[in-house]
Amino acid sequence: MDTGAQLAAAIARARESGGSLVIGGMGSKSSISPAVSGDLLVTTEMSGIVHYDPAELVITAQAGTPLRDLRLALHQHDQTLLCDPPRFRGSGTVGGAVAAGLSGPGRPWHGAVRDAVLGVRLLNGRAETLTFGGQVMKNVAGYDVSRLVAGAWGALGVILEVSLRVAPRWQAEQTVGFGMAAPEAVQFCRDIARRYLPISGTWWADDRLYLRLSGSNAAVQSAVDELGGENALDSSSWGELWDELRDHAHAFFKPRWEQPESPNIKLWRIVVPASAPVPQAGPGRLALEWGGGLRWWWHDDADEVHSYAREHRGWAWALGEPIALDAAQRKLMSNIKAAFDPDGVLHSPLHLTGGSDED
Amino acid sequence: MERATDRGLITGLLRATLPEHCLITDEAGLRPYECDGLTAIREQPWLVVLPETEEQVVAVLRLCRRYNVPVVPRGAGTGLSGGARPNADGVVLGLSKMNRILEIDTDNCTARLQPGVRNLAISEAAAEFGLYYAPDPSSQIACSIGGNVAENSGGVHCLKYGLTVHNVLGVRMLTIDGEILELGGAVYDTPGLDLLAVLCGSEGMLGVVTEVTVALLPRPPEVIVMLTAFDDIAAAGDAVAQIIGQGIIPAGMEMMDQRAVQAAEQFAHAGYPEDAAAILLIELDGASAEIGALADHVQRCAEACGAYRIDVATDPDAQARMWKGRKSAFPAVGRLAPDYYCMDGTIPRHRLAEVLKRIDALSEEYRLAVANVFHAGDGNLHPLILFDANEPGQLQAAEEMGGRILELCVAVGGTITGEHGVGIEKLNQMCVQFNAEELEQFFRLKAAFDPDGLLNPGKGIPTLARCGELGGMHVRHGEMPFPELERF
Repeated sequence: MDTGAQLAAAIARARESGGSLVIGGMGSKSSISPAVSGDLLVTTEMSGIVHYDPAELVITAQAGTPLRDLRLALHQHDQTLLCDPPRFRGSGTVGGAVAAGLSGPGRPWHGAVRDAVLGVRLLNGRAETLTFGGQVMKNVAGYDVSRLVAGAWGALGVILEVSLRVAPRWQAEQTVGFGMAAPEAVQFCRDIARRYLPISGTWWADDRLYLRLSGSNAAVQSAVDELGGENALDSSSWGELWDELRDHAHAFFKPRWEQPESPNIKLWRIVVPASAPVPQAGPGRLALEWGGGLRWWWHDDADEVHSYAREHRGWAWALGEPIALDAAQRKLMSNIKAAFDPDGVLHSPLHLTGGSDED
Repeated sequence: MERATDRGLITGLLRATLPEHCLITDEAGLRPYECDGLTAIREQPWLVVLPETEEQVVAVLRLCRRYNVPVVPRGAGTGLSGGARPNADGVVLGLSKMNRILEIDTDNCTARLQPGVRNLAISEAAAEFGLYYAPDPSSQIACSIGGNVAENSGGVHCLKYGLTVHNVLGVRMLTIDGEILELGGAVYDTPGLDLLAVLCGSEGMLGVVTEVTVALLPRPPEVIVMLTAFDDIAAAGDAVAQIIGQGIIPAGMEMMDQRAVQAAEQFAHAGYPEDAAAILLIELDGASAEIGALADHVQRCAEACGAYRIDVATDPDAQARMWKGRKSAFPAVGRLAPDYYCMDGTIPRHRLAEVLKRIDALSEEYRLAVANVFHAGDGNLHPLILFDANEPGQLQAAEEMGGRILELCVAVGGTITGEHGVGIEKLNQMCVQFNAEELEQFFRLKAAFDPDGLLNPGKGIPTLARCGELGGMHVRHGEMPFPELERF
């Protein structure tokens, strides 16, 4: 019996006995994932690249394949996954990256994880193995279930295999830095967004803005000349910064409060329009990514954060806590959950109520 | 629930809800709504409503939901798969009057649009800020953004810039109950399930879009268009693989075979070499500092693969001329025969030569000529089957041959539709691409949005009974499909 069949059998058993299952890979997201209970269904046995033809710009891998292995395979052909999903603590699987749908520092310019998804093989809560999408860029046959599965945190089924769009790696990459306060940084990012520049990442914290530029040698060099800035250094010095941001290994993401002044202090991930005004925050409390469209805020008052996000037509999530959803949308999402998992066998960190109540 | 059949009752209720000029009930007025761009399949609609506000759309949906009346949402009616074909007992909900550009937000590089805004009008409105909207389906002069969301439309630039789903950041969606859901906005992701992603390409079967927020991009400062000619179509295919293999993603890469080239040249006088077995049009864009080297690199790739002629256009007029042949390929081919049938399969690019050979064989078998136009970069093939609907049996032969081409696309690892949608046209081929469990999953997903199946019924997903009647089409892992159904 292959692992896919074993997982299907486990789901069928849980369905019959009223059990509950939680899908897990390498556990790299345990510190950010909302808590969820159930018997662990491990995907890491299903590992390996199934198909990779660099000229087609598509790679197909089993869900449990470590992201590290995927990256190595792609680098051998000078290609990369532009959505650049995080590898917290240096680990993580392809399936986990798709299930969480978290995108790296290049999201506004190079797309989200779901944008890279071309097809999935999915084991739903009825223990059926289904294939959606495929290995081609353009495909509008049937509903786009493969992209719906991205970011669903396992609520709709176990991802068995996934096909992803890949891209050539950049010839050159450079990072330039500027000293400026947060409101200026937001304005600066807005101004340069209207210009044709090879921007692939922005990071602001502690009154410094860093811009990553990626592209051909000539385009990157001319952008560096045009933008000026200080500390224009090559990728060997600055490559690590962006990996650390992506993986939350950067000092900003580590709690700096040995004895926190408030036990409620949490790291909030806030997605708002890039031009939204910057909130007042103390030193080391606030950071900006995605040209201003993603904001990290250490804060102890959930109401204040949510009202800030709402006021600016965005949303906020405290890492490790449940994700707040609008009531009408939650209802529809729960209907969708039930369409894939009528008995609510698969417990997901999204806590959508399927056919039966989740804990 | 019973279908409401009292047209008079519904008309009266709609009349009380909408201004008189937003309702069409007379036969002459209904006629233009009998079909969309797939003109071979027609049905007179029961009623057409053309609301002017979101509140009116809500009112229409609530009424239809209450009286169990099917609703067919319609944009500009340019779709090619019959997705907007009306129902004889249902309302066509046309969104063409909601055509205002609500906001061009230069701070966030987004545009907020009503669904009836034409695709091209977005880029025209954004031009003064140096911005544009990237997806450019060939119908962009007429097609509307709401329809683009419904079809997840592509265009010639989607290899580099993506499809509609990659360029839409938010929508306001109405459920069949008339409930308003705001999905996304001028933001880069949303909490919970990605409803926006599944709405894109759902062919009006999950909800009705009343507002769309799209991303705008800065115009590339430099563009070069290149025409490369080959005396062997496989060599042109190799050139595509070579260019991408060298790490270059052109803004557009379009291939045409000899019949398409000849038709286009005679129609548009674009300067295409009529003796070429295939031509490849390549558009490159980028910064001033890089474009020259990029063009040289691509030129060397094309030469290495046997291009015997390369024309380079650097000024906008010459580029427009070069593109004109490709952009008029469909009407040009239309002059070769009284009718043509446009297919829309996608294949892994490396199977191109083999697929074209098998299309040739089908062309001989059915005695119908084919011209091939190909979005070469992304593997989306548009074989145009030439026929004469006035000749007995030719329409059926063309449809059958088209079906076999799509089955061929699935067999080589591709799909039955890259950008035109399933609509009503490709329902049979859906039975080839998906098995019974997958189709049932689609139906359950649909029911999560629309439990009574009122939104665009009969489109997109075939019933299991239909697939069963076709019989034996989907054989995966050697298992017979639909074993639970009788064969007849």
